[in-house]
Amino acid sequence: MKNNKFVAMVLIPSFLFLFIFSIFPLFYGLGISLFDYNPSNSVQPFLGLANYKKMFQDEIFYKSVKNTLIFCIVAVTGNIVITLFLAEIISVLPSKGMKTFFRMILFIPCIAPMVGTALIWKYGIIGTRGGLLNEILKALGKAPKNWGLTTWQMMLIIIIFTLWADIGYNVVLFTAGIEGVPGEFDEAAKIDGAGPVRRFLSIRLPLMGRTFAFVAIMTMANYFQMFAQFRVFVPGGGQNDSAMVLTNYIYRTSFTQFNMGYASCIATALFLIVFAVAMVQNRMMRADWSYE
Amino acid sequence: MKKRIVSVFLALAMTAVFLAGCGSSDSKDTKKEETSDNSSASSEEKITLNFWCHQNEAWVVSYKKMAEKFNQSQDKYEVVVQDYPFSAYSEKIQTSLTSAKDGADILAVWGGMAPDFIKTDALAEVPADLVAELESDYMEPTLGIYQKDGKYYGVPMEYNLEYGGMIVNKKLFDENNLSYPQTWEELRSLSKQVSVANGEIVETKGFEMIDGDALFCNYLAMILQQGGQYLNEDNSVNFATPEGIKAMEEILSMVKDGECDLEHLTAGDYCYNDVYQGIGYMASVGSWAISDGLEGYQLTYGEDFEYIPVPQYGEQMGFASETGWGIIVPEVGENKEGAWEFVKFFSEPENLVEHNIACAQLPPRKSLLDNETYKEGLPQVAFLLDILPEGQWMGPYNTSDMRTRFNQMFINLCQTENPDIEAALAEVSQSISSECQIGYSMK
Repeated sequence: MKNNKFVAMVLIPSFLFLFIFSIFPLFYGLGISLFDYNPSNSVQPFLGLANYKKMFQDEIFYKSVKNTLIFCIVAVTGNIVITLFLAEIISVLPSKGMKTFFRMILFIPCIAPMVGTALIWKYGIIGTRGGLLNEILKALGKAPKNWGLTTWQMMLIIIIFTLWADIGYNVVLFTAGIEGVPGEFDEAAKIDGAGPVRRFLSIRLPLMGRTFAFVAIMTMANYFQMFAQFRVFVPGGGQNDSAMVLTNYIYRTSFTQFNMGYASCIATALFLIVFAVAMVQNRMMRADWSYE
Repeated sequence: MKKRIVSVFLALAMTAVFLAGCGSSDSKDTKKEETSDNSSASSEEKITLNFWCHQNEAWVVSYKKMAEKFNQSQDKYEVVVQDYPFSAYSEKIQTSLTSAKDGADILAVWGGMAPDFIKTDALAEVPADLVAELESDYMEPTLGIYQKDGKYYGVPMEYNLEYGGMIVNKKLFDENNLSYPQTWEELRSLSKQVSVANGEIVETKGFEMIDGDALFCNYLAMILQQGGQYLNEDNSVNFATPEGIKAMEEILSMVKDGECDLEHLTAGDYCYNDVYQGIGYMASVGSWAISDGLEGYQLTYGEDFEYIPVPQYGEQMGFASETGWGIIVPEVGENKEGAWEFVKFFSEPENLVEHNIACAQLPPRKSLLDNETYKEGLPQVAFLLDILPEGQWMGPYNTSDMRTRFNQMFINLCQTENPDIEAALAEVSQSISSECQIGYSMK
């Protein structure tokens, strides 16, 4: 009992921090969504559910939801498949030094600020003049392209960039997960004649359920909130809003159009979508937290 | 026990940092100490006025000179200039307007972003003596957006004109023994002759006017120069007129003929950069771009580049101008009186001319159209002074939103095989009229 009191006492600052910077803004945002909120105004007119009604009639909102879902589904699936594959390859490397080296190489883009790397990609990879993609096209005897005019190709480029920038983190988690699976299961399967692919799919992958669930839920929640690369690659949302996602739309509505009430309304919708997806994932991936 | 001591220590440290972060400080005094370029013993007794502006090398130098001049002219106030990147400037203003203590006392603001602040009650009304000057001596397009309910909430620093002049690469013209075009036909013919296209990309560009600013302003000028009009009496817009369709066909042919591409429209930058970089011959832009060539690119005027008139498209001179850069004062500011004193000082004709010359801007006052100091200081843009009285105000619109919609429509037209221009113009007119018109009354 005495110990519990002590724990509670030392946790107070953390809870205070969490309350002021996470929980309070969440409810404050929810409140703002009911107003025609502009901090510069001395009076904030109450609108009730008018912002929500407007949102359900807003074409760009629906486009943003669709694009956000496409981005999340493709990028999260790609991320998990690639990181699992890389983690499996790293786990079979012969020495610890080699494992560390490859993990480090893959982790480097995660350390770099996303805005910086996105800018390098924007001008260095897909830049109209001197960009790597256009130089490759020229070398192949084809005419260069203005990638800023593309629609699904631009979304694909952003997905590829995101995978490049973010896979290191999950590789580390999956490598740890694979290494955490007791060796005897693998050995037993090997004796029974199972090949490496079968052993991975039928033994190691199911036993990594808890790591898999954690990675899938966290990556999905994280990707719903991806913003920096969209702001850099397609600040206006791309051609006819073809790459407009909810986070960028929230930013545009609040800080370009200064319609913060409506932006909070869209933010509430994003919160509910992420919450619902995380709940569904959590239920579907209920992991067996032991190896027995 | 050791763990407990560490835990307590960490919790205390976290609380201390947390409280320090959330605590208030008299940041104005700190700013004064940190940022004042000319802190002197006497300035400590003065009231500090923070003047915020966006980052533009030549402009910031001019603002600082003006502040210095004002600081020396009286003993009560000390103006300190602080600059911020343009990309984040609008958000900075928004935050500043909510703070009486930590925000700016005076703000430079672009006409395109001004309606977002004027529509609130966060701006101080322009004092009566300045209003009298605005109404008697300032040209209509410079004032347009600063009015709400018959009152003024901003004072123009310039006449914003994105039409009328173009930067030309003198070296390219000289090397190829070409002379500057005098008529619209010559311009198009020369542009076709010198441009080199490679697929969607034009490697060497002839005449460029397709970027976020120039496309819309040139298009409106082309309508007005044919004797047409896009602005209706009820302030709605209609581009689907015979003049509007003809002007659009002309611009689309520039892209289809490979004279220029859509690179700057998609990248969000300006086409005059191509001229400064030696990959473009001519680019339509406001005179403000001259200072970028001199300061940013370190080029020499008259040797590397020149600023000359864009040949007129139609029979009569006409163009539309949006309200340009001006000064606003927040209502919550503690030193509004001092702020307006600085604005009045800034607006005095001799000071305004100095600033306009330093920034290669056009003067907003009618009385400065014949100003000899201006003409001597900026002989290269003097030709624009003659056409300024022919300009009309673009209209009561959020011009940023207006251009975004128009430019997207233009890109769509360029990417369609046989576009229905009239239908596209009618659709964008309807969308701009209903979505971009300013929600408050001007008169």
